[in-house]
Amino acid sequence: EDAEAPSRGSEIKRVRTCCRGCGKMECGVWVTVENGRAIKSEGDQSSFQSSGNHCGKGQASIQAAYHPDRIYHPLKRTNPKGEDPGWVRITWDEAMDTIGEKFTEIIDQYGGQSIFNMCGTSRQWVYGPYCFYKWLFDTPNAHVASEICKGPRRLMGSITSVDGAPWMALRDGPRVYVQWGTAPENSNYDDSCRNLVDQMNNADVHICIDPRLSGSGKEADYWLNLRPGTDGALALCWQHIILKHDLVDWEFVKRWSNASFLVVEDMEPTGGRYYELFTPMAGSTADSPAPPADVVGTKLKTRLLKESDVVEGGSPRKFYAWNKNANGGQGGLVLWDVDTTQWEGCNHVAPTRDQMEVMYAGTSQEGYLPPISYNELVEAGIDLDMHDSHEVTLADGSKHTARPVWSYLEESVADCTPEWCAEITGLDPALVEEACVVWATRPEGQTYGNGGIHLQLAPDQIGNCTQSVRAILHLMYMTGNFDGPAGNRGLTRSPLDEQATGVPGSNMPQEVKAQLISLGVIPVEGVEPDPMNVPDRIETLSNMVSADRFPLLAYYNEWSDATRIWNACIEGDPYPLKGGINESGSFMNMSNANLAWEALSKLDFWVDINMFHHPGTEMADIILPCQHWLELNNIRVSQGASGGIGLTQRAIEPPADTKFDYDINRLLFETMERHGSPNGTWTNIAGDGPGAYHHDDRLEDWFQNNSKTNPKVKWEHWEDFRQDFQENGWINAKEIEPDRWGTYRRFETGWMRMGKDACTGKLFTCDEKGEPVNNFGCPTPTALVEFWPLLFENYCVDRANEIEPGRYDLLHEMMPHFDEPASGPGGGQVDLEEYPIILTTGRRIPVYFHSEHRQLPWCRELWPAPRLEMNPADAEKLGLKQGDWAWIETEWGKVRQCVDLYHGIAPGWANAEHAWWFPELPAPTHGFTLSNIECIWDPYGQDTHISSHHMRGVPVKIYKATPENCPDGKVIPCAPEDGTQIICDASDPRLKEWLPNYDIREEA
Amino acid sequence: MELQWPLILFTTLLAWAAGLFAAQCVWALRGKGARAQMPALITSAVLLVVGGIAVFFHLEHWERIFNGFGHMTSGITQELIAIVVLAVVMVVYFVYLRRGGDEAKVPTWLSIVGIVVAAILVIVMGHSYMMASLPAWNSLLQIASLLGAACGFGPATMALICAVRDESSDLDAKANLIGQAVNVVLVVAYLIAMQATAGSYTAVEFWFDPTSPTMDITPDGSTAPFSGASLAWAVVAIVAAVAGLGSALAGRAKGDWKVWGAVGAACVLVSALALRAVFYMTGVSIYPFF
Amino acid sequence: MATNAIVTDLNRCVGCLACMVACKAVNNVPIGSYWNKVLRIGPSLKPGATSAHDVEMYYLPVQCQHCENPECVKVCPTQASHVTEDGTVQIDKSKCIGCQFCAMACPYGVRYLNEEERVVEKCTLCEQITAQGGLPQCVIQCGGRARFFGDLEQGIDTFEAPAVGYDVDRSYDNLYTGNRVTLGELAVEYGDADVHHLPDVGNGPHFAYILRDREWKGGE
Ligand SMILES: Nc1nc2c(c(=O)[nH]1)N[C@H]1C(S)=C(S)[C@@H](COP(=O)(O)OP(=O)(O)OC[C@H]3O[C@@H](n4cnc5c(=O)[nH]c(N)nc54)[C@H](O)[C@@H]3O)O[C@H]1N2
Ligand SMILES: Nc1nc2c(c(=O)[nH]1)N[C@H]1C(S)=C(S)[C@@H](COP(=O)(O)OP(=O)(O)OC[C@H]3O[C@@H](n4cnc5c(=O)[nH]c(N)nc54)[C@H](O)[C@@H]3O)O[C@H]1N2
Ligand code: SF4
Ligand code: SF4
Ligand code: SF4
Ligand code: SF4
Ligand code: SF4
Ligand SMILES: [Mo]
Repeated sequence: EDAEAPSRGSEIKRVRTCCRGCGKMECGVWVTVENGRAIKSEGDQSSFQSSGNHCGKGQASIQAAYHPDRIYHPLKRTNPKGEDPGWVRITWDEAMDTIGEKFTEIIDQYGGQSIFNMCGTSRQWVYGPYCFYKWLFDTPNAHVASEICKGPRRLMGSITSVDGAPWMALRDGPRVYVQWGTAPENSNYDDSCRNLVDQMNNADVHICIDPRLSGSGKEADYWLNLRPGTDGALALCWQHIILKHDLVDWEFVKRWSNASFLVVEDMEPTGGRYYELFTPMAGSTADSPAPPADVVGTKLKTRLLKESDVVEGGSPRKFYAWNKNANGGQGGLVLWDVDTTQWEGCNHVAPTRDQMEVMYAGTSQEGYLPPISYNELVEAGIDLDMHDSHEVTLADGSKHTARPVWSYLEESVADCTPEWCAEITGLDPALVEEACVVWATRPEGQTYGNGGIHLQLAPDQIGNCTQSVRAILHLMYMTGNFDGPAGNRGLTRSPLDEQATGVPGSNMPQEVKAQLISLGVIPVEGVEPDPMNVPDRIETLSNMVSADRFPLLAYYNEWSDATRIWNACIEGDPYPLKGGINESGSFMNMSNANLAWEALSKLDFWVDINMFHHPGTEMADIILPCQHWLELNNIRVSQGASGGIGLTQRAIEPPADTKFDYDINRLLFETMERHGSPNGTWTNIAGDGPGAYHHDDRLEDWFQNNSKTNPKVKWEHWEDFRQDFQENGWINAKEIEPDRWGTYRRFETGWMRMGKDACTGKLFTCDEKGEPVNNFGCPTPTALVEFWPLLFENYCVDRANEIEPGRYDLLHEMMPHFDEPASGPGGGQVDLEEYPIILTTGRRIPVYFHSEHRQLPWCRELWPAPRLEMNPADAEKLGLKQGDWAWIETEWGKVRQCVDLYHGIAPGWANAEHAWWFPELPAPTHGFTLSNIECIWDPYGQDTHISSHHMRGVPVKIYKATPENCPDGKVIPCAPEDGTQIICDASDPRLKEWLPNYDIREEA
Repeated sequence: MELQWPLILFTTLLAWAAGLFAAQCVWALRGKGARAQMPALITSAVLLVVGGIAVFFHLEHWERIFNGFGHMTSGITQELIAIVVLAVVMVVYFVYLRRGGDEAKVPTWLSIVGIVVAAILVIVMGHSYMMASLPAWNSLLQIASLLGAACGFGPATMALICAVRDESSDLDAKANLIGQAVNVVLVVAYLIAMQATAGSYTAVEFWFDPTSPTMDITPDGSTAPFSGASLAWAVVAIVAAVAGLGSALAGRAKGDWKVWGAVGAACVLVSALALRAVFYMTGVSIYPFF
Repeated sequence: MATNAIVTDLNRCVGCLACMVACKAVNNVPIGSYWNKVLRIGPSLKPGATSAHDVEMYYLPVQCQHCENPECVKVCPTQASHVTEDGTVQIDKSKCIGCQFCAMACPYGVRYLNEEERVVEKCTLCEQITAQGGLPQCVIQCGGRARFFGDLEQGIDTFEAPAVGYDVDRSYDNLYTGNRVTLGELAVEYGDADVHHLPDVGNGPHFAYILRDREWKGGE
């Protein structure tokens, strides 16, 4: 395959591919390959979704491929943990034999759940720890970055409307651009720097919500520099303002949300089974209809009034609202039927194309906008009451007061005035109100919102993220920006999906397996199928460490609380964690890094798949070398709402003993199978035979198979796709998926209510042609946008209260609210006299990806040392000058960073960098204890519902580093192992030692 | 800027060479120190050559000066021309001296030409450092300070050589007093002028260069000779210059120019080197951010 | 004859530093040395600020300004530093003797001695690329599309940045030779008072910076 892997010879090749210098934006790039060597990479202008952007770290990342310190072989340790591991080169065979043996030993002795998997955010091809290692070991335990990154937003989106609901279609171009807790100029977080700059310039108004002045925020018309960690309060206040000025999109809220449903507070929750986004088996195709919700749906109970509560034999999937017009104007109940997704008396049909408005014609964003079908309610004589209490009689004859969900929302924000907000956030109340009104007021005649909220990372990392994120989601829903033009649309839908080619064939998640066993589809010796009692996800997965404290986590099955994982490693509580595997995660990304380090040192067996040594790899027993993005083939689809479909295409030959992550995954399955685990079976894509073959061949299989079943997959062979991409560039999901992605307001068309995954996600109900029927609305239990989320009511409140009676007050929890995070300045746990400065972290460094690239010369020379942004007034008080080293300290630890005088952050607040370690310092710590901010976190400061850690708004003490208060009298951090000083200036000659070495890969 | 020792030596030695040559011309005009003329000329020529060699240590590719050297607007080119002219004048001077034997006499016109050319060399040399980008350098007093050094060097060295050749005269004292006084005045004047450029640098209160996070941006006084690291050098420059004047006074009082001439020349050397050190330390661009 | 230069729209520059790496990627600049640097100017309190909210800042990409009367050329004894046909200032490395007077004479300190080659170097305005009709690498790769390249004689509104391509020729070559957008088309309106230069000591810097609604710091 010469075209793929240019061989030696004096030729120049241009390879169109997708940069993976980070794990975020899918930037299309051109790689120039000269004599088989990648010499530069440049933004590809066909990459409309990133606008041809190619950031600094992406351009520099070719230096990683040829790095002298790259890991080129499997390695095993020869010294005890905590010392320099004394790595010794071994063969793949030896590595895999050892791994199979050790994991089998652990499983035999302690059970599969004593193994945990670890992953960061990393690359799209490190999916093992997020899903299929869980299947392999039969463990629900994973330490993954989504806990503090995307997870809170995805999960809150999932339980209230659709997976990843906050994802905004920035490239559409919002009229009013609201940038909330994000700075994509450096993060390129699902939208590139170029997209951001274009759209902030094109918008009429730009509002930036960020405690510190950012590179993009400096251009905002409104800069709301709230106190770090108080986003929830601002969002509640905006809700208050929207209600006060009556800027609610009533047609949407009434027609497509459960805001009108009636809550019966004093009713024992009742219910049944409901389809929802994660219902295993939910999904149907023309030839295989989904089992009915009654059988496979998720078991939920709610205080929302249902037909089953009022009528003997009524359905739990018919919900009541109050129709003011009923009974000749006296009012009465009206039903929303989840099974048909229809309001009583309506017969909604999907609008046709010509009933839709064409938006953004002639651009990459061209799409169809259906009208809101509110008129159907009017025609059916329904006028939903949103405010008042009504008496209802239940089937048992008892009378109760019921009132609409919306009235709870109104009540919850009644006191959240701008003045109240100012008290908490420190913002000017007039500015808060003006900005909100500007955003939420539509120009005359505009039928859709002014643009969604570009909600990104910051609120995920506040110790009350569940409620803060919900509060912000409410804003999107209330203003009709949900799946609207430039609105919050969720994740790109595509017929191609990178992960689909990586999963181990017909192997499947534990909860799906449990259901299939229960349905009798998978026969298991000694197990009697019981189709009427199919287990729930949460039932299968509640052996997760931390499920007792955070029940929703066992349902979501993405992460277990990081701190609980470390505790289980150290203390064996609730059961011991003994080993596991890290594929692209860093232990110093949340919780507390010192705690994590101790925990890792306790494990019996730990495997790390990596490209470079890292403090984390130095705690492994075996390291497996993976490949660089220049060396592999992988399909790439926008993970945000940008709609790009393309490919990371091999540009150079992989070196030495390295392997692609997906191939390493397969080897892991194989070795477990060889050691007797039935979970280790890996089948081919079609699921009808052994599938243990190289990933390139799997890609071919994938195209062959999927092009047969899905007409949207128009490439019969992998090579067809590859060539199409090389010649014609990035593919627009809006064009090839006009229904699933190219149309807005898909709740109107039936194309939003489907399973989670882009590719395998299937409609809940469809006809024999595969078109949606009775499938309007969202993939939620009520099929509507849920201001009163059933899943939240069940898991976060009722189940939590069952485990710990009295833990939560239902009414307080059901509507978003602002409780200060426990380990924040208002949490009452930290002595503010001792720790007076409010620290935030996380702002992205343009040349690093978290802990990555610190050894790339082009990156490190640009940003040599960790910096602490401080207001000059604070610095002066503390006797700190620009460039001084300062200690940052909490009760939990202290680290040093270098002071940067920054008027862009208010007095009393500061901003530190995260993920620092120093590759120039020796193993095993590589200096992570010196500057890594995660060393000072309170590991118990998590969000009370979903455990995400608090790292924005932490009270700390800051003081000057002096020879007297530094180890060995050295103010500039030095290795604890041998005193080597860190690199902290571009002129450090050690940087040159990291320049590419082209020979190693040949020799090795 | 870092101290450029080859250039410091070059300018100092050239000022010395030019000063000595000019001084011997003055002596010749006054009909003094005939037997000192030849040794003085040789000394001056040696200083010129040593200075010239020093400068090569500054060049990274001196071999390339043979292809395409000579861009006329360049101070270096002008310097080179001035050096060549001075060397020619020195050769002519040498020829006249040889002809005159022990009673060396050079024509008046030649002495005058010698003085003028020597002065021009020093001026051209100083002028090549007049750069608009470097306020501390961009001063006529910078040139004058080199002339000052020449004025100090010349009489002191000449008096010394005369003393060695047993030819002391009243000119020794007179010329040394004037020369050393001029040097003191010009050293001090240039230092004051440098200090006065403080306001001409572009200033931004808060700024940041990502590549140097540990850099302190508070002004460190590096543009002012009387502060920071350059203060000590500035003091040395003045003290040594004043000591030079002292040596002239002592020489006049004691008449022992073997000692006081040597001391005087040494003082000027120390003063000139120190002043040049200050010159590089304060050589900060008007836009000191890159 | 032309007067090639770069104009940077500082309201579009967000400090992503992509331009700093871009230059390295094609120009073989030694580690620790730079042909362009993005400085952060500020944040500082606005004049008359009443709270910590009243602050402003901008990023300033600095490189050789390819001056009208380049000091560096004036002092160069060998004519290694010279002004070329396209109005840019270049160094003929084979002529350079490494005297570094040009480095001292440049008001912005953008020249340095390459320790390995022992000659002075600096931004070439990517002449190797522009000669082929392309845009300089730091312009092509600019994250904010804040940089525009063009000929001053045609006026800065004609300066070009890469366009975002959709319905266009999607070939590699077109990255360099086609698919462009002009400053006049892309940039938000600006007035004469918004156009700034680095401090001029008679060298006449050709590069310009557009900065709206903000105080330009550090003189012209
Ligand atoms: N260069 C680079 N790019 C990256 C990454 C990287 O490490 N390096 N990481 C990637 C990953 S995994 C992610 S998740 C994304 C995240 O990318 P973004 O969503 O852009 O998030 P951040 O850059 O962390 O933070 C954005 C802004 O949040 C502000 N902020 C801090 N505290 C608060 C607060 O309490 N409230 C509000 N409203 N704002 C606050 C910060 O000042 C900062 O300007 O970046 C991705 N891109
Ligand atoms: N204080 C603070 N902490 C934070 C944040 C913050 O804002 N503030 N942000 C958080 C966020 S949003 C996130 S997502 C996490 C990120 O946390 P992580 O994703 O855990 O951190 P990384 O440093 O990116 O670690 C990735 C590791 O994967 C390796 N790697 C890279 N490419 C590959 C590959 O292709 N295959 C394999 N097998 N390995 C590879 C790298 O060498 C590196 O060791 O950090 C979090 N931590
Ligand atoms: S944002 Fe990520 S994918 Fe895009 S160029 Fe940068 S490193 Fe590459
Ligand atoms: S900026 Fe400096 S190096 Fe560039 S042309 Fe002007 S004077 Fe010469
Ligand atoms: S260093 Fe080279 S380019 Fe600079 S002035 Fe000297 S000869 Fe000219
Ligand atoms: S124009 Fe070219 S040489 Fe100059 S800074 Fe930009 S990339 Fe570097
Ligand atoms: S690449 Fe463009 S936006 Fe980014 S720092 Fe450079 S000039 Fe500014
Ligand atoms: Mo993240």
